[in-house]
Amino acid sequence: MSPSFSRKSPALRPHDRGRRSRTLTIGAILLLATGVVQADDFIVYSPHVLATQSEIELRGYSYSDPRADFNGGRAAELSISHAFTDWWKPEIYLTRYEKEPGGSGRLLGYEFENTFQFTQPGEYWADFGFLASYEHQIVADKQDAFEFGPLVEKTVGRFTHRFNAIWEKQVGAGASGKYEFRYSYSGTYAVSAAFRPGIEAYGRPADHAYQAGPIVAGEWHVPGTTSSLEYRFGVVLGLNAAAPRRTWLAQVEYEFF
Amino acid sequence: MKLSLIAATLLLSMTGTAVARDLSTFTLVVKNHVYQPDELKVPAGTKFKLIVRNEDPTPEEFESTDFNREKIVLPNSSITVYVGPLRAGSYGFFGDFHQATAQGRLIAE
Repeated sequence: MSPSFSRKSPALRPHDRGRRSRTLTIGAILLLATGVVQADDFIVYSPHVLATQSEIELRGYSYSDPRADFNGGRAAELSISHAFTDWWKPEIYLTRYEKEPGGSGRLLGYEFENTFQFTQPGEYWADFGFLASYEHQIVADKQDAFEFGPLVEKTVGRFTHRFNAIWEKQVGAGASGKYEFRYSYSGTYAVSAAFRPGIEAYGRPADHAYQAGPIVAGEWHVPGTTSSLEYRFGVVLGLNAAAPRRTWLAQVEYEFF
Repeated sequence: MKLSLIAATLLLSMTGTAVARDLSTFTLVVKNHVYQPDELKVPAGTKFKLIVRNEDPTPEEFESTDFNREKIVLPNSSITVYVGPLRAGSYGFFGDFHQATAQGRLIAE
């Protein structure tokens, strides 16, 4: 999970309702057409776990929107992980940084995240897994949180579709007590291992925020080693007024065995 | 949210119906960082199992961009890879850690 900014949910104006309706329609079409959807710490998790693989990952995002609710907002996090089996990959987020719009940057805390792979790739109609994490905050105005949900991936030839449905529940003093839902989708086409262009889409119904846009991802094997470098860059555009106009995404990862 | 829940339920329910049983099985061996055989005929239009056995003392990563698979094979170990259904044609695969030598193709026909 990555930091997400709290933002006051504005009352929907008539034209916003129209936009929202169109957005929901687009989301429904995507869902029905692909069987996959997407979420909002601006990553779409794969259910796949590669046994014995270790990873060091740095990822972040930055809003590009002159409106005061979004201007200057950005976040980044650094994590390490190791897949102890072919079905369980724990990941520790060592550093989580956030700069809220109009505020100053600060470190938020730590997170323990687990990816569970339930099925072998290609064994069934789609591949299934589960995400479960606990986020510990070190700042006074943020609550600890649990996060969980199914991860789905479907490959068709060189196309890969992923869908995440994630529920988050704050815990501890001042927690809202409600489950907050978000979903995410990514669809990519593997031109080569190093170049996989595609789209990502994120929906946060509680914020009435919906975003989608192009991304490019890929990996390079480091010659003479059992390691590789992965990258993902993109920009997702706000599909309605409650979402930032542009969110720039970046992720780099070093994987080794 | 309701739509997402319904879709997730449908997707999850499908796992119980699409059981990969009674599949044809084919075997690839990695030895001296070379796939043996380096060309393997497989049936088109149906799912099958590929057993990849690594007889080298180092790990290998069985990978294919053409049919979208990536899986680690530990030294002196085997893995099962589910592939297909593939249309008739030629599909490359490689060993990610020894790409200069570990190259092969599935010929679906």
